[in-house]
Amino acid sequence: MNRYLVEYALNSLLRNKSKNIFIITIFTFLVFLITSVFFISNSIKYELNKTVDHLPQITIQKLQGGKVVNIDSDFANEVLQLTGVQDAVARVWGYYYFQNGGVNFTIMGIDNFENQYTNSLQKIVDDGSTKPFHSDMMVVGSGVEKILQDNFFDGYFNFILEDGTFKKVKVGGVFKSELELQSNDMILLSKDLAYEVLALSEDKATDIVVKVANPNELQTIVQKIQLLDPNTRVVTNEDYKVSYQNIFDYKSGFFLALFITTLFSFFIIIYDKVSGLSSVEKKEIGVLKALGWRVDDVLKEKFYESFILSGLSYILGVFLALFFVYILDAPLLRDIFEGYSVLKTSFNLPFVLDIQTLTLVFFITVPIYVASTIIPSWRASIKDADEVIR
Amino acid sequence: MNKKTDTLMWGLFTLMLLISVEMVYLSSTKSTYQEKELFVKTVGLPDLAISTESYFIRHRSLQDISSIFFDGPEHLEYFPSTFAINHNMEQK
Amino acid sequence: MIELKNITKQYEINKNNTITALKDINISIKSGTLTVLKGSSGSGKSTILSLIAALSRPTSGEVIVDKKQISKLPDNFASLYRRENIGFIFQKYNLIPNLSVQDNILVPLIPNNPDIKTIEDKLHSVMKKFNIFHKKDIEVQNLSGGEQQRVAIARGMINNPKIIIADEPTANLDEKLSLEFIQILKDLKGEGRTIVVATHDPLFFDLDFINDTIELKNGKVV
Repeated sequence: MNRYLVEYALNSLLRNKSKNIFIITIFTFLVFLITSVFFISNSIKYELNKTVDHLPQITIQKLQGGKVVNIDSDFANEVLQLTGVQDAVARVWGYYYFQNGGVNFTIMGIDNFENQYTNSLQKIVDDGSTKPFHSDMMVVGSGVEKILQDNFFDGYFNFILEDGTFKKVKVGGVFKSELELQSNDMILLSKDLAYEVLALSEDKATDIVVKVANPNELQTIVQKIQLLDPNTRVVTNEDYKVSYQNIFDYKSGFFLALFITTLFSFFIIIYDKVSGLSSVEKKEIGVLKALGWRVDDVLKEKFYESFILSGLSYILGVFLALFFVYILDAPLLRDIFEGYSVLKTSFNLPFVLDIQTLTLVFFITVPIYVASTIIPSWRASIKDADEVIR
Repeated sequence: MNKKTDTLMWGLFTLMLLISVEMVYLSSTKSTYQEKELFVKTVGLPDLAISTESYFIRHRSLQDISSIFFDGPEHLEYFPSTFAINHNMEQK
Repeated sequence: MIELKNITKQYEINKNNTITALKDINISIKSGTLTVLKGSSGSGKSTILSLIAALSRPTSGEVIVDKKQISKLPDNFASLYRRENIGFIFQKYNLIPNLSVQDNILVPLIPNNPDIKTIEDKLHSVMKKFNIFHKKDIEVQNLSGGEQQRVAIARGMINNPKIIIADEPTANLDEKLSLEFIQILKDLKGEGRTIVVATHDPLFFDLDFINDTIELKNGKVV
């Protein structure tokens, strides 16, 4: 590397200080924005994929007129009779809209709640709760606890039942804050309580989850279930994985808007460069050639100039994106992903180093900028430089 | 003589160092997933609690497109989350 | 030895308009001499200089320097030829603003990527020679006209060229500085270099160390 050439390139950049600072700022901001969004979506996907294998192997929903409705609990027994099915359990879960708080809680009914709590759930519950756990209590996510406290419910909540009466349920535990992404809006109750709160009749269930003995037989069992009742929708573990893959459609909505705006801003910068050099810049190239610089030397210098500018912007943009997303928890951007929900998660996303993303962002910015600088310089430098003398 | 080049090199080096430090720090503070796995296993519901404003976004993997139309087709883009997060288009 | 044989140079302004800068010129310049090209502006002086420096190519004819044909050199070789043989002094100096004296002078050396010792030695000697060493770290736009002139000369001399080309070098100087410049030219000629100066400054016309004066009018030698 020719250090004198680099020095010359730096001086050249400093000669147009304000213009270049402007370009660096815009460039860095664009890289920062795109990289941040990619970081967020990659991290969300990562978080989803880390636990996907622990979701139920088969979930059966009942369809009526193309819409999902409650399923008969007895259907679980029918499914249990199929060979290869290890277990089939009817689940009760749904949403409870808390009007004063303007939030949706997800309610999940748990079988054998007290036992499950002492055996496993306790591990993921905050140690703050010292009271002994009863099955008529509920375990809630930290977001739920916060909403309750904001609405003056201290350690309990009054569900409004179907008949208009209140059902008071005490909070038996709050999930650890590390589990916020998964549990923020969750309320775990005993199955009986869930039936009450969700106003579901005892012979119905929300869906049925099935465990199979041999994972390789999953598809066969799915087919068997659908033969049993063609009006069912069967969701497998594999379907979850597919769903997680297409959670972000990069061709539509937010991403499309972002990419178009970014590309547009970027091309404005490029257009300014490609539309040719100013007469001052042309003269400078002429002088350099007169002093013995070859075209290669001129282009090398221009390369250094543009690479320093764009490379620096890229590195700075990535650095800021890392800081913004993983240390500051992406303050404004997360509102786009969280939408109108009142229950905001802390957005404490896992750090995922995706070389693909970083490489992609690099290649759609730096080489294009470098090319847009070199090409007009090349065009100017291959001309006869005798105008310089005039 | 080449003072500015030296400054640039040092600046670049510092920046790369900062990035590496940042990355190392972030990797080390990664949580284990045991607790999360236990939670997901117990509850058995998919998707993160990022967008809780509507059920067809909250548990999008268990919803199909017709459930959106169940409430009203205009609801498809009502929520900002659907602007960023794709509703599950898979029909089964 | 510089020879221009049957040189015609035409410039194309647009599709239908061409300007003939030089018409069938024949010039011979011996090594170690100082030649003055005389003539009003537009007479073709600058064109001859750029041809000698291989900055442009003739429409027809040949330019031969030290028995080498330079009129048809490909661009990269032309640049190399300039780097090794030609020292340029522009009319408007064409120094690079916001660079120091030192940084301006070393511009011709940059593509060679020499080691620091060589550069420092060369810079030191050339700056001392032209009396600008004491201002080496000052940015050139903050220098006086005469000092800038000397920086331009130093830059032209850093590669120790055999041929020095100066285009209207005293056009922006007062009489005192012009005479100083003429003295520098005399010293350089004394070192055995070939010097070609294009000028219409009358100070040049009666000097005793000028070997040859060529007068140009409308692209032809008078």
